Amino acid sequence: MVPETTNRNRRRISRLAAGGAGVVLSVALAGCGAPNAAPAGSADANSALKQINALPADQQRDKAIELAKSEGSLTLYTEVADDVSHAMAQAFQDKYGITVNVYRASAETVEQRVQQESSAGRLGGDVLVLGDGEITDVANEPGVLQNYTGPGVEDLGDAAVFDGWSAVSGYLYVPVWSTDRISSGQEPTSWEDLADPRFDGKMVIEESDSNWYGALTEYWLEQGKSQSDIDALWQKIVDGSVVGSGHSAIMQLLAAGSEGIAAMNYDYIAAGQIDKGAPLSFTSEDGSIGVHAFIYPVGVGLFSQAKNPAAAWLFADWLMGDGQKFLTDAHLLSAHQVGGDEPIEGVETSIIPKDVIADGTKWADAFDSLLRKAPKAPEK
Amino acid sequence: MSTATRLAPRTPMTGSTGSRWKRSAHHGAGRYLIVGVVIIIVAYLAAVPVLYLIGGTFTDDAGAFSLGGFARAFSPEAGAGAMMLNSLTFAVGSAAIALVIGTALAYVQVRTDTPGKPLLFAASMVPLIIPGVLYAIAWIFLADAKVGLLNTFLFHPLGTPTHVYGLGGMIVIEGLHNAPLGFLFMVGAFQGMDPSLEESASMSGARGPAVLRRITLPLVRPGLVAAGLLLFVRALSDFEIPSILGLHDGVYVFTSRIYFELRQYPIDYGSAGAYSLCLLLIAGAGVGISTLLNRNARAYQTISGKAFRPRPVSLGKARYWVSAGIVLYFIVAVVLPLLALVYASLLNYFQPFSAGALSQMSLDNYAKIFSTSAMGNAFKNSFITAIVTATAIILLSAVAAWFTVRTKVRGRRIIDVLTFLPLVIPGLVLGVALLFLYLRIPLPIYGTMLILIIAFCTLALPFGMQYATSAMRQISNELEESAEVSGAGWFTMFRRILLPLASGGLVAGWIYIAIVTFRELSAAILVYSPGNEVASVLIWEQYENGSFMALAAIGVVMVFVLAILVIVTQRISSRFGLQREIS
Amino acid sequence: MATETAKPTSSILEVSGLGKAYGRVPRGRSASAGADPTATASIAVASARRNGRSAETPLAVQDVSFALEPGEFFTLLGPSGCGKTTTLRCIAGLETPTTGRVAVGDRTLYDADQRINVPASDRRLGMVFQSYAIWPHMSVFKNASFPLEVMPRRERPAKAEIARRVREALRATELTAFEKRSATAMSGGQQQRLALARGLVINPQLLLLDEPLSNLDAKLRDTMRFELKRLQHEYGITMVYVTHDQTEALTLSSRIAVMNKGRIVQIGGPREIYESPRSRFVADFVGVTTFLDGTIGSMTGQELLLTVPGFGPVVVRGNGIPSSLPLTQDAPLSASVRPEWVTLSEGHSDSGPNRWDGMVVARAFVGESVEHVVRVGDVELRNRSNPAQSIPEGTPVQVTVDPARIAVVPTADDDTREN
Repeated sequence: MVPETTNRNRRRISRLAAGGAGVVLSVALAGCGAPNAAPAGSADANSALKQINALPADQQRDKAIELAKSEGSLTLYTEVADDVSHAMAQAFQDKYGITVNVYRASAETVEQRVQQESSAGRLGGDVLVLGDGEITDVANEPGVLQNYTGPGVEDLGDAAVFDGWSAVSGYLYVPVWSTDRISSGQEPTSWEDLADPRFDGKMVIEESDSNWYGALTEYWLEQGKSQSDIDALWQKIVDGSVVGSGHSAIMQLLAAGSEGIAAMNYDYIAAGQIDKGAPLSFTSEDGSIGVHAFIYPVGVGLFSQAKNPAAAWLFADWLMGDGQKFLTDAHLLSAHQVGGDEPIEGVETSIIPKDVIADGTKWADAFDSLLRKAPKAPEK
Repeated sequence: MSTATRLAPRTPMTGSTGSRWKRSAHHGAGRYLIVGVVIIIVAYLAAVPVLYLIGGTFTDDAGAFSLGGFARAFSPEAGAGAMMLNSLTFAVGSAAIALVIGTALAYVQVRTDTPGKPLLFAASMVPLIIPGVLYAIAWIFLADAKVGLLNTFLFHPLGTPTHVYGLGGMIVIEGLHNAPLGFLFMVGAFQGMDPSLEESASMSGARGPAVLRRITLPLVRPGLVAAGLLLFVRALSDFEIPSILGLHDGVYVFTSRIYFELRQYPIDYGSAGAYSLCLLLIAGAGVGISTLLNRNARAYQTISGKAFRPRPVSLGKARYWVSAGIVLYFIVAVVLPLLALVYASLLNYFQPFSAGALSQMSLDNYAKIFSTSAMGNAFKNSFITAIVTATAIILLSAVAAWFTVRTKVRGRRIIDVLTFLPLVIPGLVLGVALLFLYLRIPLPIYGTMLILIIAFCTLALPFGMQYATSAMRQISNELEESAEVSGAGWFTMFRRILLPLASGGLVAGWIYIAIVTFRELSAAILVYSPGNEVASVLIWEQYENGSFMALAAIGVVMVFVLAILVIVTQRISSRFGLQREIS
Repeated sequence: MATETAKPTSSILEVSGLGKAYGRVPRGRSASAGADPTATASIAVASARRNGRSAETPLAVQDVSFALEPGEFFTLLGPSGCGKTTTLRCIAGLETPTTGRVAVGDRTLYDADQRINVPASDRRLGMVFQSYAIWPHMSVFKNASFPLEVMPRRERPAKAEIARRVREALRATELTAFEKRSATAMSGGQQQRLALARGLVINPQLLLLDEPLSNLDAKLRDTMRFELKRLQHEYGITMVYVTHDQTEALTLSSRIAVMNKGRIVQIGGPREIYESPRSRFVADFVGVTTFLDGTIGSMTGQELLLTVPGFGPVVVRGNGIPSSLPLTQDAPLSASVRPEWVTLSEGHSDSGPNRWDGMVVARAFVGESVEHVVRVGDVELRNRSNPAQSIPEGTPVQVTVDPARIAVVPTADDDTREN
């Protein structure tokens, strides 16, 4: 039947198995151990950046170019849309001859990756371009992110400069609707207007928009509304709405006519779709926006553990200059618009308060409960 | 003129016993070395993620033991009860659908005389090719309550629009998507059945339905149970379909819940781990029940040593109904979603079918995706990982299967259990585990394609073992022994006797693993690095980006490529199969 | 070709003109059969007919006809691929022929011209399969009671009656002690008896058996042969038996149909088949023989003289000479000489025909006999002797064969293909 297993071979197997188990166990334990100390790479990074920062402003760029060219490549971690980020990468590459690798994923995924890699000392990125909420989290970890302080931000409004990062772009939180389903004159004129029953059964709310929830709540508080009024308002908004996932996905549903209006979405996504001919709008006929739009900054930061720190610096520098065109072409805001030194036409705006971002978890939980308690809109 | 007689009892070889022992011992060492290495690899692949999972769940940020993860996971606000109920309903429902469809198709394929068998086989496998994210989105295009193509064409006029979101949609779509799995499994079960068992029932006077009910189905019951279990666990572990179709209505299952936990900041490993362990326990319970039910499975093994060809059951007039049913299934499960994808890929933004939509159709999306090198690179990576994974796992499984099926070493059951483990680990959690592990170990694995391959290998291991053990079981011991008596060492015997004889099952396993790896997503999402993307990750990126139309275009290309892969490998494997028949 | 014309309807089974092609049934023919590779036939495509006709579809069964009286034990005997199993399965209804007619009693089960094809489940025949086909998920009792339990409601006996009949069948096959056992816990021989019991429990008009003994070892086969015979006498049931083992055929059958390449080559009782083969194939396949190939030297009434080159003259007398053969001077003809009729003597006598001088070249002790191979001229003859006569190799002997014990067959069978 079976090849004879002598006792010797049986013992051999047992020994092998035991050895194998030992190997496996030790590897596993090694993995569970405490995170490594800060790795060697950071020393070089700091020295390169120190070199650049030590120089006067008009010489920084040239020094950066020199150092970056010897580094030769750059890795960008970003959530910015594929076509935009790749176009930027290509342009930067064409200008300076430095290869750019782009890691593009959703904001949460990028943040998570940064977190993983940096705590293990194996950071793969050099420069980070990420939305407010996530980049703030990253910057809050000590020793991970530092700000770009070169000539590009010299005349940038203070509102766009944050701890460890600067705003390089941004977008607006606005309601977006399908022109097929919401006729002209029926569009919302303010955030409170969303509570109006004419939007019942047509509205979709994105499930993770707790930033908006927080910012709007605080805005209303500042405006003098009482907490109970605000709660009632939110309840009315949520009543008769469905919950959706993903701002782009919701935009697709709007364009297809599956939903009527998104309580809040991003203006640049809507603008992109409108370019393609989608029957969408977020402005009234004269091009103005009725609500008080919130600005969500998108920032750039340099990784302290970067392998190519000078290239990172150079990229951030470029973003503030030539790179802006790519962002504004994609209907995003410019850095100066976020900073406040350039006006945004046709709409009243303010940046999302820092404390809303800082208290992100609290607002997320509150928003979650609000949506869960909402009675489901009847399916059509 | 003479009839076959029993083999004469083995006579000891002439020649000095000393040299025979020496040779046997030498070959024994070689054999056990190979087996030992394989066992270590299997144990490593399967055990480390689980160990990590347990470790991460029961420690808090400071590294101390804590049950906080469980506390948070199952707190009243977390809504875990509803989530588990949803998960179980989803898994059971979709497994039932997949099993019924898969079994029916397998029966028709293997046991009846329906025409167009190769087409049927291909048709039954095609849903396997389509990644979950594509399939779900295609069905959204088809069945969204307001703008779905099916609704605008068919159901709105009838007054009964379909809803694709929510538990109902999840169950149906997952069932359709997993039916090929059920089909593959039951094809094996039906092929292993001695047809004379059904013929004798016919001769005894039982008509078709009675034969099916009293003979065929009871005989394949072990196969049905095993397949049902596989499908149940598969559905439990699936991420893409339940998250895309479920979250719209707030329906969470284990996997989408875990993903949600993993996106918080800071990441709550404890909570995610608690859900994962819970998932593991449920799946493990499922396996336990199935094993209990299957205690008599060995006795049901009906393949004798002689080769035989299953005789088809003649369907007579029923043949037309059956063919119609198959065509209908094919249309619903394959053609409609693919058409929806193609339709969407030609539009700039999704809109219901209309003259306006027609006029706006263009190849812009294709131009866009082909203009970047990202797609070519991603597909290349997909091919490489799929081929490497399939080959490595099949070879590994062949050796491991030999060990568990053929030897009597104690503890071989452990290998069986170990290889089954990855089945119950959600791809997402595996990704997290591997990431964490390979970020810490100073080996050049993170940031390369190796980590992807390791992830895929781990996930493929249970399937490789399944195919390999069933292939090994079908080979009579005597074939191996006659090689031994002829003087072949273990490695030679394995390479020249067992592998070729098992090749049918192994090749089928290779194809399956290659396809499933090609479309695997959730394990890859977290561990890939720039330049190492695979095609499925590309698609998911598009989804997160909201570029559904570009996604559709990439999806169409992917399905096309995979279809060709399947056809090519089918041709090659059917030549394998023929070679085996001529004996 | 040896066929029998259909007898009037006292016959229990009547098969006429049965034919079946390999592969798909052509359109317009009888009920669907689909692709049907036969298990025992080889895949090799036969060459076209040699007499010049254009190549036809190879036929698994061709022109098979016979009729059985009740109580017969009828065996289809032949080598692998001869069509015997296919014929049996056509009678059973598990395969559909392309031409012909099958009738059991006064029921027509299949008729190509009238488009009649009764499904297997309605034919009420018993069948024992080569692999026994015992259902592993049922007990012995349940296996045997199955045919009764699946009868249509109005015909089905009451439970008590079913139990009685099952127990009766189990008693007949000596399986009473195993009634409650799971079918998987039985040895090969026991499974085979269970298959028999199951086939008999409905008291069918016919019992079909497809090589039922080939999976048993020699001793068990021996025992089961007698069991089968006994059962047949006890039940008086007509059996159609398929085998490639000529010992089985000869011991069990009342009549044998030897088949080759899809056709029936000869039908007759065992003795007739053995002693009076009408073709080279039958002479060779059934039993052992030596062929002496020669030409006709002379012919007188009941006596034939063959000239065999390299051997000598051979005289054949009596009813070994079939009238159907072309018996002209110098026509080629072969003598078939069975070893038991080859006599060896160390002495030398001149009286009588058919005496040749030869030498023993090999000898083997077989237990119940001693076999010698004797060389005469260019020919080697096989001999079987009583164990008392054991002649060492190299001994010159005189070989004698009784002229009345020689069969004469054509030198080459006139069907298309060489063996």
